[in-house]
Amino acid sequence: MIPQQKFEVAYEISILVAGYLRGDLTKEQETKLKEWQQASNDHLNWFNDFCQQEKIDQQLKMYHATNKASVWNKTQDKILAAAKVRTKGRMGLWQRIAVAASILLCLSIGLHFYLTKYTSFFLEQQASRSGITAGGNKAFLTLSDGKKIVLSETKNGVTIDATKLAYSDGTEIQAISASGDTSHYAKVSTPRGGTYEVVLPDGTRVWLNAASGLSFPTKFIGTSRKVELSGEAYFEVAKDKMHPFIVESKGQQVEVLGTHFNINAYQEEVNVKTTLLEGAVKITTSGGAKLLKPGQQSDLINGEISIREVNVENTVAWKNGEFSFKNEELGSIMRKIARWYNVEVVFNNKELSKKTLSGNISRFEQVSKVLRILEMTGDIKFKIQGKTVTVY
Amino acid sequence: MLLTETFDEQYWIIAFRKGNDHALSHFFELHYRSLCYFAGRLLQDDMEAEEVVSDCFYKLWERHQDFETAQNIKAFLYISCRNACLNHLKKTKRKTAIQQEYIKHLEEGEETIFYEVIETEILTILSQEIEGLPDKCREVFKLIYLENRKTDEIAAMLGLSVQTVRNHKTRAIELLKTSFLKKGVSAAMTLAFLLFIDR
Repeated sequence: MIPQQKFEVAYEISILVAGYLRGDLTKEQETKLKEWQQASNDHLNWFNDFCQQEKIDQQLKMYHATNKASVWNKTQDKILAAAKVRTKGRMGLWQRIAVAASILLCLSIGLHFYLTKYTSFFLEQQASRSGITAGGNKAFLTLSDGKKIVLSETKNGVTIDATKLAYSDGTEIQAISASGDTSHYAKVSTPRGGTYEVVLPDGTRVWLNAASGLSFPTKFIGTSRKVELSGEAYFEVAKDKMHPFIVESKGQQVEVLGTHFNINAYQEEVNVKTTLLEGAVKITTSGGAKLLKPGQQSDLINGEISIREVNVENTVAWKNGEFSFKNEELGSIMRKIARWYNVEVVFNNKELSKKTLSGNISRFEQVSKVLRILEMTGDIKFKIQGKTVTVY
Repeated sequence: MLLTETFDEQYWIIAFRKGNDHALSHFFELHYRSLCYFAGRLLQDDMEAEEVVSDCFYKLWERHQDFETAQNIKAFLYISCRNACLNHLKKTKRKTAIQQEYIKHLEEGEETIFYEVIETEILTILSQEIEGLPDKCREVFKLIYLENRKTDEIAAMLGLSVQTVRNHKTRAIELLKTSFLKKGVSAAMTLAFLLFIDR
């Protein structure tokens, strides 16, 4: 092994040679360099060989031809891989014991930050490398004549009826007004990472969450106003006692006269949840019908409805630009994150998806920030690779 | 100046010992180029050099509590880099003549690595001088000197006039102290100029 002293000599010589190349050696330094050169033939040969213009030019080129990002990424990957092995194995137990002991010492918060800190830092690096961004106003409109229009990302809502198609700020959507469309049916769909507000022909306002779709006629005819929903939406239904408003979604029919409510009916979710904020709704399934009161949420699983009281603010937080989780299963939380940031989520261990967590954060934050908050509230860690978030 | 440097060093080493990841990126920033160059020289393979260097930083981080001074960190990086390169070279089945020579030297004694360290350190000092130039000036200098770009090419790349590029070059030569760097850039320019005339 090379002793530290040897390095000190090497550093000193390099400073002297650099000074020589620069031409600003003091008399004293000059003498030192001379002495070193004359101490051995090897020294002198090396010196003469190194101090050639072409050689230095060449070596400086090599010196600068490094790929910083690539080396840094590799370093991070190695550190994270090792941290992962540790949380799985024996060390995980010791870490947990350490945490428990510190709680006794009233240091729990500090230590928790300490333990989660460095992986979180890497999370931000990983996220910016992956180019994952929060969702925004993204949607497209399909008309029954097959025409498909991509809605502007700089607008947040669209108003549709038989005679007019416009953004909620009044700007007309050219594609249709010019062609004199005679479409009778329309569908607004949001992709993963998209949200949009739709104003229906009767004035009902619907906010679509990510990866959702709403189909409706461009003119409501007949005794009821019927629309179809996939995914999640918040409704503010225009009052019209003569014409009940009906939302059909996965396995249920919600009938209202005029009220505010939220339906979560994603295909990938086991249950369909309908939450009432104001007024009254009737939910009909193959198994029968139930009435909801404000503040209640119905939960439909395999045709069975159960009703419970909930904090409605949490349910509609998404509409107000927030993630709000209260003792929610990590599986469900991660599906929301996946839809909004358009990422895939992988659980290293299925059990983790059953953990329940709480937390509040803006939906417009970087994904790394959202994950960091979750890391701080629960005993979990995340890793981002490309568009995949791994929970471990 | 020196005092603040010492203070900064103290700050970073304490943070590093505590396992602060920003301190890791600080030391990475300081040493990654030297190590990549060092490993690249020994291995003659840039991809392998990246693997070896990232391994060294990983090992450094694993032992973050053990380091007392910034000098310890630097020495550790050099030594573990040298060892990793040697191990890698031994494992490589088909070796070039230079590599075989290196293995012999590396196994025999410390002298080879001693000169490698000196050379790397000198290049680090020269490189710091280049990095210390003002923004545009540095960019122009690097393109001329390190990438052998022609004046008009640089002008197009940076969206500047040819005259402005020339001005940056003149200023770089004024600001640089090391005559080797001054000569280097002048030579590169003259060469580019001659080639240009030749067409």
